[in-house]
Amino acid sequence: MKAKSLDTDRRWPLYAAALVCDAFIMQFGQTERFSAWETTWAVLLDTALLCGLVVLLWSNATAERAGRLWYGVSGAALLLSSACIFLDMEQFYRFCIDTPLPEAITLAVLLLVAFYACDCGWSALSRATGLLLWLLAASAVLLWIANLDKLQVTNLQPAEPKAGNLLRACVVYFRFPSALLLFGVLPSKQEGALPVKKMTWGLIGLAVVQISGAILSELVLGTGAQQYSQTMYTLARLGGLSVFHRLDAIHLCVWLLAMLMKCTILLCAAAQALYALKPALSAGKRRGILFVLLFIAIVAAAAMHSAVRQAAVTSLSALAACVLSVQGRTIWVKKEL
Amino acid sequence: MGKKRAVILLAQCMILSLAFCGCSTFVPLSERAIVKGIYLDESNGMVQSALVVYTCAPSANTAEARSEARIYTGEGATIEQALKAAEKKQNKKPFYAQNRLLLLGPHTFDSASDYLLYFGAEEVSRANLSVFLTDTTREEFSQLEEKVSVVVEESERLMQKSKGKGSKVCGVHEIRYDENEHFYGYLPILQIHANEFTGVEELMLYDSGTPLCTLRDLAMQLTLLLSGKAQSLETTQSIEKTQTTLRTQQLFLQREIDDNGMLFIQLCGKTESLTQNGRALQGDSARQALQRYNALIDEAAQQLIHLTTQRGNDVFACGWWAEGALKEVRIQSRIRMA
Repeated sequence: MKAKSLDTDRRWPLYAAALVCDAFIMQFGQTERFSAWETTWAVLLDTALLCGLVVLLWSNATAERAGRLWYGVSGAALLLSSACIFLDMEQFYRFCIDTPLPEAITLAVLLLVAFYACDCGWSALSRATGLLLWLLAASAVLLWIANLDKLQVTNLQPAEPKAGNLLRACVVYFRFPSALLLFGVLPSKQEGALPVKKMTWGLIGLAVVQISGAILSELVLGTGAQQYSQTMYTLARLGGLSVFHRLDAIHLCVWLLAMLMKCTILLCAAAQALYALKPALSAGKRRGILFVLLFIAIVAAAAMHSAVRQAAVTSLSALAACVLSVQGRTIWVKKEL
Repeated sequence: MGKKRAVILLAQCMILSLAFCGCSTFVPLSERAIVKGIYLDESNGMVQSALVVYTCAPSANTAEARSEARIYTGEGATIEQALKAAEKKQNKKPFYAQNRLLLLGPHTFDSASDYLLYFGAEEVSRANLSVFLTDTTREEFSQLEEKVSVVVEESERLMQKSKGKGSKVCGVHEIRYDENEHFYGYLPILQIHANEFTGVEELMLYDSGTPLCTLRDLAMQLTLLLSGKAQSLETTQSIEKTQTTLRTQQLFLQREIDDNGMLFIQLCGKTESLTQNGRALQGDSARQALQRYNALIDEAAQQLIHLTTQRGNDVFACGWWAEGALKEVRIQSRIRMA
């Protein structure tokens, strides 16, 4: 990974993409399903909690000259997160395609693209991500428009506040996105505190995407929405515009591309953390080490149940956030003094 | 430089994603049996199936290239086995992604819930698969090979026409089940005969997975209207021993709920035409005929409510409007002269 510094404007699309790129894909193995009302409240509460955590941990903290512990833990979190997305993407691809490529070939192709992207550098990745975010936005709008004639307001489940259900939904939907670690890892031109405000705006944007998806699913599919493992993909298959009935192929292309971009960004960030840990290593050696580490992470993630996998990513990311909070604040206070 | 790399990166992602389209383990079109319709019935405890398959014969001359519809039949203890048995009657790889038609034969009416649950599963069919009941038996259906393409095309036309207004089609995603996984609502009955295709003229009303009655003409149109699948009425009734035809403009449903849990639904709108034996009615005679029509609609709607909501079979989601406090439903037609 080339350690060329980026300004905040360039880092923003990378962060946004790493947050929302897999919002359209539901996690396989997640058996518990909730109504749109429960999802909305759970996502709002989780987002509020996350925003609170981000402000609490990182206001007046900086990632400049952060220690080896931070780079070690955040690198591990980013690498594991990237491995999980690789596996989720491969699983989603196999779920959607009638005659898929063998698992190993699919992963090999994905890794090839991801490593090439790492070699391109942050600047190219940021520009490509900017384009991709527009494609994702178009896909979301198209999903709504294509299903407009199927919306039934009576499909929405009545709001019955049950604290137990809501609490369970909050636990199931809670994630500490590893994308939050990006601002601490990415090489920055501007020196100063972490852009906490931008981070919270990103989290709010993610909540909006999740809530609108849940509402659209229930408006179209009613209680049946909870039976589907990939609700958004079902909506993509259901919707049509005029004589165009197979819009799911377009959505699929954009969503897979977005997931690929997300795991690439996380992988590149992990490479950046490795560079910060071992700056003396040659580029070739760094690539080799990264490949071996990613391979181990993929094997480890594949051995885990999806819920355990998600819990591991969340725990590692939260731990990294705590480390940065302690180190970053200390550095900031010293700097201010 | 950065821009160039970004474009190369995006292009490379897209090119490589082409490899994911199944190009490496592809099945040529000529080896695909494109399924355009599934027929299922029961006989002696066995499931009988028929697949309407379009075969494509490759030809260098595009003008000569054509596809023809064939029917392959099979039988099995389960739906899956019956479908597999029909698939094995030909040697091509079946392709179900184009299929949007599911026909359930006369012996499946009582057990329709099982079939709907099977096809409602995400991995079995697309959510926009349309379900029809039919009185045609498997034997009769399998003899329709020459005309089955008309059945498929007309059914697809019904699905196209159904977009938004006047839909007589029921997709598997619209099927609702009670807590015992029994289907409630209605299913359209498709009339298929050797000589003609009359489309959908009846609906079968279901309560807890059991067929309750068939709904025709005004009752059918009111069902579609109250369930939000139609927005106007077009019906011919005998009023004072004369055939009178009413065609309305767009109708609106106004719902009000009072403190006693009574949901009051008003059908509001204007006539587009009101004719008696083909002659347009005007003045007082039109007003009187419309008054009779409003009374007829009130009566038919009340009967419908008696068959559905009052039995706890909430086909029209009245409970939703009443926010769970529903005691009674009253429907009043207030169609006025244009």
